[in-house]
Amino acid sequence: MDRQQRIRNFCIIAHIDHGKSTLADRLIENTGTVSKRELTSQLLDSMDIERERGITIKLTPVRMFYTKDGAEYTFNLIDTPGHVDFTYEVSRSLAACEGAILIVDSTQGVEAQTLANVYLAVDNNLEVLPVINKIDLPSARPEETRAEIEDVIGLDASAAPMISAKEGLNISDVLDAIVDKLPPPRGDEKQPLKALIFDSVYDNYKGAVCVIRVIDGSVGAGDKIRIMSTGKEYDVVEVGVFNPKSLPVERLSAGDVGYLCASIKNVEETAPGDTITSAANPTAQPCPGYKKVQPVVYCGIYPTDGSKYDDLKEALERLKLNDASLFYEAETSVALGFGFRCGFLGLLHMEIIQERLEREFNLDIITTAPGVNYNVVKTDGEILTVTNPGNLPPVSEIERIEEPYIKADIYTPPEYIGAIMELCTERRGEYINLVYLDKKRVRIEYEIPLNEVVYDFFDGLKSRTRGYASLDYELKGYKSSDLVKLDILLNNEICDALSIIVHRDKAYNRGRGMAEKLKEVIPRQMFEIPIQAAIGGKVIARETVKAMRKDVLAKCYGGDISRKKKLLEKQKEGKKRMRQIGSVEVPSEAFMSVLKLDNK
Amino acid sequence: MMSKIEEESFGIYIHIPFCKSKCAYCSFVSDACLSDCKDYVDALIREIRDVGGGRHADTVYIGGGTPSVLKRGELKRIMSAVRENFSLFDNAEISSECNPDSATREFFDECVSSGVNRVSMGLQSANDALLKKIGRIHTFGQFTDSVEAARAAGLENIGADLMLGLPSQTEKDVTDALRAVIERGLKHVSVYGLSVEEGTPLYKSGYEPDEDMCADFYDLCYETLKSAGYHRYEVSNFAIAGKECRHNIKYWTSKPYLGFGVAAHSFYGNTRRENTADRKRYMTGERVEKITELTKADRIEETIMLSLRTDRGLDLTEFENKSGCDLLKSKRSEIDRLKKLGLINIDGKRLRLTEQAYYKMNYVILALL
Repeated sequence: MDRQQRIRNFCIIAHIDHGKSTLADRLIENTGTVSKRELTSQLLDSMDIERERGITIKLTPVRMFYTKDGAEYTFNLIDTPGHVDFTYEVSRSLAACEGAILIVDSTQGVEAQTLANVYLAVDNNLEVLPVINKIDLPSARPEETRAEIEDVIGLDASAAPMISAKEGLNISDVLDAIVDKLPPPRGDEKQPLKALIFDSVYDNYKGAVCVIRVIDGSVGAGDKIRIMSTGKEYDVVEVGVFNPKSLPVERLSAGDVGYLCASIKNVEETAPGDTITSAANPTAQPCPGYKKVQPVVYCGIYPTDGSKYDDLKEALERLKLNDASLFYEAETSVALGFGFRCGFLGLLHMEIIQERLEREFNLDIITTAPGVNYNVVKTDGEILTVTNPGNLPPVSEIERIEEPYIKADIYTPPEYIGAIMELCTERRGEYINLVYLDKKRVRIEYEIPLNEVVYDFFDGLKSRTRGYASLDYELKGYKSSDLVKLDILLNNEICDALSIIVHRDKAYNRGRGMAEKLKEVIPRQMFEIPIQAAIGGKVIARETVKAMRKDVLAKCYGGDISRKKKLLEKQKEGKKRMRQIGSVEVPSEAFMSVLKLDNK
Repeated sequence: MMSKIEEESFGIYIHIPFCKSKCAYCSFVSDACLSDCKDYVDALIREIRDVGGGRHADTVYIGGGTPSVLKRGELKRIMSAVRENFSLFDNAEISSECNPDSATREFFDECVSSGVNRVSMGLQSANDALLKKIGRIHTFGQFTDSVEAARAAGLENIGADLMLGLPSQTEKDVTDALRAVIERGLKHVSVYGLSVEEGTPLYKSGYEPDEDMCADFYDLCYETLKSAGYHRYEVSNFAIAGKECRHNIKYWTSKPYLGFGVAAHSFYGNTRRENTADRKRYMTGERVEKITELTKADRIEETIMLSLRTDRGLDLTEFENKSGCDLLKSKRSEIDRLKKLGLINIDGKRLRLTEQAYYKMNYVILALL
């Protein structure tokens, strides 16, 4: 049998909670790749944050061996991120596969997100293998689910394995079906090297480690390679496979999935979707679909304690090593001092970076409101790109401001059309089209300002459609908008870190919302603190934090002063989380709290 | 032990961990196991005997719990042990707490014959419905009876405790309670803001006193008591001149005191000592739970935290002599800021809170630490 005939490259797609990680664990365990003892639950999600949030961010493929009818097969299971921020990464890892296992929870049936994922897989020419999961539960409806898969998705499910990933039931059916139903790779080893990078991780000793799928040709240590988008050339130091830890091999050939190290200094040079080829004998065509990932959301990140600036800088440098999509540059704020303007793929990406800074680097940080890149055309014709509201020129110098729009494709069952259109309209969306893909699935197309999407649009979509709708979007270009800078004044002084750029029609509600929220989170102080929201010099909302009246420790009964001391210690700690903004002490969480207003 | 300390006279605190029933806000060590009463007093006496050694003492404070629920005769046994093992000054201040429901003429007679010359009553409120709500088992009527009984027994130095910030407490409730103590000519009033402690029934109910309400009530107490001739010598304590509680002043001025009984606290030399809160263990003689040697930083923090509670304030010269730290220099900008905010004033070498700053003193303390 041809070598490639014995390889299967696949991913698992599923609606959230339908059992993707559990099935992955089971496959790894049943093929003896990792002993049961070593198998920490949900092996693939290796970062703490991933495990806690139940989402996958980094894509670690796992190689497994499975013997069927006397032939040994190599399975490469490629995991995919599960969030819209990482749609591009998903499409790149799908491009590394020939097949996809579709898990459907037999207690839930087919759900909208399942559909979106199936379509993504089909768009990437993957063969889809349906698997019906959770058949051990009393509420399981396996036969109905089978019929649903056939009716709603249009896949042949007659031979779909019926399993319980949790109980390890019928896992061998899945393993057999992977061999029988999913196609092997069909590359040409004799062609020049063409390998798709679908992820890269930074290693302290090896530099950027590219996770690759070899399409054609082969590659091994000592080869000279070229990265096609940059034209940069490197000498390969090591290639290997994931077993699941990295294991060096001599060569990776067409159809193989593995890693490649070539003393590449950072992961920016090895972006997902890029193609590696031979420097001496390059391929004519790179892998299709490569694009340079640009940050879409920006925010300021500052150390709560100004003296920790260097620590923050070092932490960002470290994170950047492993995350090419993270962007940062130094900036200063009147209120917050020295910090960084950072760019992210989306809000989730932003939250993950914040969390990692706090947890892995033990930093207390303040985050300013997320925003996007605006084009400001000045009266003298000059064009500025502004992400920080503080850098907006005076109104008199602005001819117009343009903001980025996205084209949003929202997939949903028809019953949520109304709710989604309402949401899109609230977010200043412009209706483009509505297409019935079949009787249970609709694609709604809108053009929406990106600024409106970065504020928990995705959460709003999920909550209004009970999780059924899914969102795919791409940047569409810039349009002129009536945008204004909304300032917040604390005790009559502008706090630049709280300024945002917002559409004039929304400024009043946003301003009022922010003022109300700040009133909640800013503790009472020795004097009354007016909180005002203003556009230009015009105050549009006002709240007041009353002066503090009581801040005294309880009595020290019987000479026990330990309780008092503890309370005082607690207050001291609380004080450390305060940032002095002019005359006002503002808790660092205040900056974050005003970002989460748009749930209405 | 410490020869220098020997020369100073101690305050003595004695904890009586018994109550007829537990109040809804109480997180102190007390319960209703009165059957242990005699054994407990035996254990107390053993501790007094082991520690006493003829040291000088000029104040005794019997607190709880509820000392008035002790079986008759026990208070006398305790005080005899104190006299046998300490050299108690003739003019010593000897206080006992009591609850109006158990503070009978018999109790006060025993007080007088034991040498107790000051009693403090847990009145908390003059509104019976409110008392019931917070789990107090006495009525306002019982309080008035108790005051008469104490007087009849010959006690003149009588004080009462009041609480502020109780659930649904009104301004009228506070005024009524103040009037009750003023009209009866009590010499001392303690006014405590309710603090909701974890683990208490009140905590579980989710009740949280309103800041403005507490502050309003506190201001009302201050004004009312001031015009009735009581002066505030500590944030929660008001007295007719000369009737300040000398024992409590020791706590705030870092003077040595020895605590006896479960969960009792002691402070002498550079050491804070805490007895076990487990009565069974205490009664077997396993008394001390925790000993903390204070660092210089601890001392500085405690001195600032405690002295600012009082009308004496912080003696800057004494502070510098003891800590080697000139606060006026090291905290100059903070002190200027606090002055500008009208929270402190410095008169001679004393740093004091202004009248309006008492109820916000943590802010000042934190700024000075």
